[in-house]
Amino acid sequence: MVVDPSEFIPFSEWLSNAAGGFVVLALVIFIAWTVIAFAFTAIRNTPKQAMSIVGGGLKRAVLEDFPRSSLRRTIGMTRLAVQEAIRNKVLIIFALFVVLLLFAGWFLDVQNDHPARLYLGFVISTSTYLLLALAMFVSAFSLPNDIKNKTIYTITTKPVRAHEIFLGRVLGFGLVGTVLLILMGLVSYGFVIRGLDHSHTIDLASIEWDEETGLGTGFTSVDSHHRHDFLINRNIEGDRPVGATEVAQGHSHAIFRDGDNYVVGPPTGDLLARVPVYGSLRFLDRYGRESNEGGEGGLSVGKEWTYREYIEGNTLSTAIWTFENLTSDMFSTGGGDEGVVPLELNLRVFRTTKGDIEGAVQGEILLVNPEKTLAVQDRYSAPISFEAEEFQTFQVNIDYKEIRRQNPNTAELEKINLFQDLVDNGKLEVHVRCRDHAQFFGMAQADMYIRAPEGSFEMNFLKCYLGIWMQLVLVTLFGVFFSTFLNGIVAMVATLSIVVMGISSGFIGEVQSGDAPGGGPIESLIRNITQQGATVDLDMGETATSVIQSLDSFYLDTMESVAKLAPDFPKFNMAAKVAYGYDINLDLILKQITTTLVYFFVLLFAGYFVISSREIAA
Amino acid sequence: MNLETSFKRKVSYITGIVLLLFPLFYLGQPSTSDADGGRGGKLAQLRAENYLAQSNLGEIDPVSSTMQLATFGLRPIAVIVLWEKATRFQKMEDYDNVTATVNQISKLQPNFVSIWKFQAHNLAYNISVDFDNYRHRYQWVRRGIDFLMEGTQYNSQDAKLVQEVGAYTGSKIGGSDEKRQFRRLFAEDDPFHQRMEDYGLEMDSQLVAGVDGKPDNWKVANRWYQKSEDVAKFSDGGIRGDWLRFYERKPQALIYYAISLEDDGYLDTNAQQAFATAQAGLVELGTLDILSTFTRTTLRLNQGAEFQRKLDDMRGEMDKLGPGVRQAEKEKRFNELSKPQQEAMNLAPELRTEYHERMIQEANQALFVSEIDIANAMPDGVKDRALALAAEAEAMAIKADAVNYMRSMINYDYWLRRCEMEQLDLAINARKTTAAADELFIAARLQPAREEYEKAWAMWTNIFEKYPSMITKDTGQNLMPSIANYVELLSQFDEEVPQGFALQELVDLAEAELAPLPDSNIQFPSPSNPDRIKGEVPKPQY
Repeated sequence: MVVDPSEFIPFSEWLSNAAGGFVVLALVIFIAWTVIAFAFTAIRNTPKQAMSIVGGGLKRAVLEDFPRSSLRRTIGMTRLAVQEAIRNKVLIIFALFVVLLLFAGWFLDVQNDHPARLYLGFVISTSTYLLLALAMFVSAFSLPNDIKNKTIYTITTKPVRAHEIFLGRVLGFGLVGTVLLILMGLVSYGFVIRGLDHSHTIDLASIEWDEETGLGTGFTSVDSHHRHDFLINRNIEGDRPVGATEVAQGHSHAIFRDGDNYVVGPPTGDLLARVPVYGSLRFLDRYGRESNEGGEGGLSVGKEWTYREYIEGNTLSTAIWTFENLTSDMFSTGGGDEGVVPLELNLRVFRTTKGDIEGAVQGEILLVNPEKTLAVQDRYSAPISFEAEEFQTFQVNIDYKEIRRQNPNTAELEKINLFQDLVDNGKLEVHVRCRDHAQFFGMAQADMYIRAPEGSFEMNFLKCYLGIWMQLVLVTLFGVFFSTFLNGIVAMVATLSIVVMGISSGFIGEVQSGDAPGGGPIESLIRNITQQGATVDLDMGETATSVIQSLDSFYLDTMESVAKLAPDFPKFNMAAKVAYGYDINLDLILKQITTTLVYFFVLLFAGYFVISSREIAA
Repeated sequence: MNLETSFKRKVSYITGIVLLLFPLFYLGQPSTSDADGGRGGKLAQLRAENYLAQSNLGEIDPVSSTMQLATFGLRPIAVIVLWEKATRFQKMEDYDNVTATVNQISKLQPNFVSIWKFQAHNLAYNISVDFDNYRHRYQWVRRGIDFLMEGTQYNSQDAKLVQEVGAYTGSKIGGSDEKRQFRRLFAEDDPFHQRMEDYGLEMDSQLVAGVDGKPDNWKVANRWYQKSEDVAKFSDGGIRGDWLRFYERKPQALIYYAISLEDDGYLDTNAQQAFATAQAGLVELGTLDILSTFTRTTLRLNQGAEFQRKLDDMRGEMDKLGPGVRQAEKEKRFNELSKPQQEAMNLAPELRTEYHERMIQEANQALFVSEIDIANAMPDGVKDRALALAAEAEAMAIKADAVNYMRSMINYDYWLRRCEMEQLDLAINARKTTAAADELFIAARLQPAREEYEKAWAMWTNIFEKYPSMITKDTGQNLMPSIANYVELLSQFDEEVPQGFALQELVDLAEAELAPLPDSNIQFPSPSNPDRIKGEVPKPQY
């Protein structure tokens, strides 16, 4: 699974870096409001009076309105918003969702290699899009409609403070959205579980038995568009599984004996929540040099996507993961001498020659003490070999008994203790090399990790929906905020723009930096009309090209600045983690909650000032 | 606005609507299945003429239609977005999503044949090679073929699409580097056989069974080609494009089946029988009416000799009408050549330079005497008769040339002879002996290997004497791994290939073929590289 490098930053470090950005965000909105409010007031009054009015407004906010907030009034406003939303028949969104699920089998690829990923991706993205659209409509049109219908009088004539109106709307619409989200989550969960549930049968006559070992092989029946190879052992007695199937469509089954027959158990392995413990990654080049010693680092094999870097086989080219804070109880399975280091890898293989077509490319893992002052022979374990499997995570479980080191004097392999000999202050390096000449392994930081005990899939699913909920809150916040000073349709377009910019901020950055070929909007429009490729120089003459690019550059700079103010929506989308079976860690959730809270307070204050400065009664 | 104005306006609106109904009816009337040929309006007729009517194209899928409707006319935009997504997913190696997206595109544009072709190629050829495990690669090839088969349901009148299924089943499975593994996996892939059966191919027929009784990819390909010919015969569209290239595939698959059997080690009657079947396929190809791109008429590959005989008869008759005229006309043309052209023509071939070759080329063009030219040079009394004969002879010459051109386009004569040759016991024995020698050599039993090789070369020499047309670079490359083994074997005895080595001509041809890579350290298979991998780059010496 592809992991954004920013995810490896711990919450505390992220917070200290992000704090500056949040302050800037708050200041920008505060200053913008102050300037606009001052300008508008100054038009109708003198600048001096305007300053006094704006200053008065600020003073009233700090000394009166916020300190004297009333929970009762806020709940009252919330109730109104809920009633309004229900009156607007928002529940139809849920009905639409159910209809989409009913017909999902029509357009989902049921023969896909990983149906679980597809189903989860589908239900999560459908829930997200429907709810965000709903939040956008409901929040953007509410206040403008009240103003248009003059029903706002019934509120403003009561002693309700501006921020309570704002808060009530956000909480009310948020509450309705939450109920819908819970319903969608439950239905989605049922859809996925039901969609993946299936069983196979085994035809006894088709089993090929090895009379000597008692092992049987064969194929299961074809159900849900696939079948499995299986291996069973007829010598196993009791209720435990007598064998298992190979992995197909992302899952396998245990096989049990039932009298003379064999019964295939339910699917396992497709709905997981692996808990990865990531390390940091660096590379040695083919001569064994670190990057800071002039080494070239990881190699590119010419792929357009540069997420992974490659190491060359049969050279000193090495990928080194450094794990920290390791303790012996993380791996111990018995006494101090028994345990397993459960490594999981997801490598890419790049062959420059065909090599042995039927054989896998060989690799080796060395456990290394990071303390460089030790002698080399004391730092390195003996290599532990593995065969690379591509496009699927595979486990290399290193038993404590396998961790050995060659004695330089006797040349014998001697058993060593992982935590005494190799782990230094909780730090351990894991070196990965490719053994085969002219073949390469590709990897990124997230492609090897230590697998901690499994998390709960249901919990992970819930965390993913928490991410959707936070997006819902953010969109509602922006919708209500824009509706405080724009009419309904404009407020909705503004909210949509914020969502689009938040989703596309990465793309805007790529276009602005030139990483995405084709230039800015004007340049790409000209390229489209004149049918010029995105990667060739624009054939318009030097002056015209420079004018076009300057205009584009100004536009993109502005866009990027605005996009930076928008929440980074893709970071809230954790569908990939659930679909690929990786636990959503607490740090990620904390980062999102913090971001949501910051936007909440900033927009609440901004909304308050806007509402209080509008002469609604007029 | 008074009542009268409003009334007038309403009347004018209604009149306008009624008037517009006529062109609408003319353009948009749907076609019906009436016996009187309910051809419908102009648009329906155009659709039918261009084979674009849904009923012309193939199966109508309610899912696909629903999805198209659900896009509310934004289908092109949806398709562009999906294409962009598919490309991005592929770049990011997210192949599950690539297939899911491609399926959605095909649902939105089921009758756009290029989608099926492009994405099937993408799945079978581009994505498959990104996987290291050959079993995974096979799964992607299979997925590409499956995708194409699905496409044929929506475009059942498109013979070329059906043919593509055959091409992938044959060439991709049987022609890849992993052909040995792919062919084995295909033979054992019962669910895939069932899929093909579902798409209307008889998979339990002897026509698709290999030597072991399981479906063989080349024979299955042959059946798909047969299916494509049936579609072409009975569909509205017929064959669009080159007929020869279309029809050559079916017998070709049988030839490759026979060759694959030999590669798999079936050097016995199985291979002989397979070549006999392939030869029958080629003979059948010779009897088909094929549209010549040369004459724009249908011709048969087996008509070449007949056309040539008729042409010779006509020329003979013309020569009888004016004895010596042809020769005199040729001499006249020669005398009209420029001096450098004449000198070049008279120069011995080994002394000719590039300049001389160009002169000769120009001279040959000038020396060409058509039958009409000869008829025009005839005495007046027979001129009219000669002109009539010349016109017929010219037409016959064009036909003969066209057939020859078609035969050479697909190497027809070579393959006919090859099929004939491979059925000889001598050829089977020669291959057996060569294979046995290779095995002995790999087992480092040098002396017996040498004896076997020399026995094999004697047999091959015998074969090439009977079938000199078999001395081609194809045959050369086919035998080169063994010849390379022999060369290496001789070096073990401190000997070199003897002067006048019987197969030297083959070696020269194969070397000429490999000549563009003189510095690439190409290695022929050897004991250190027994997998017979041509072009394997040797390990650099660090």
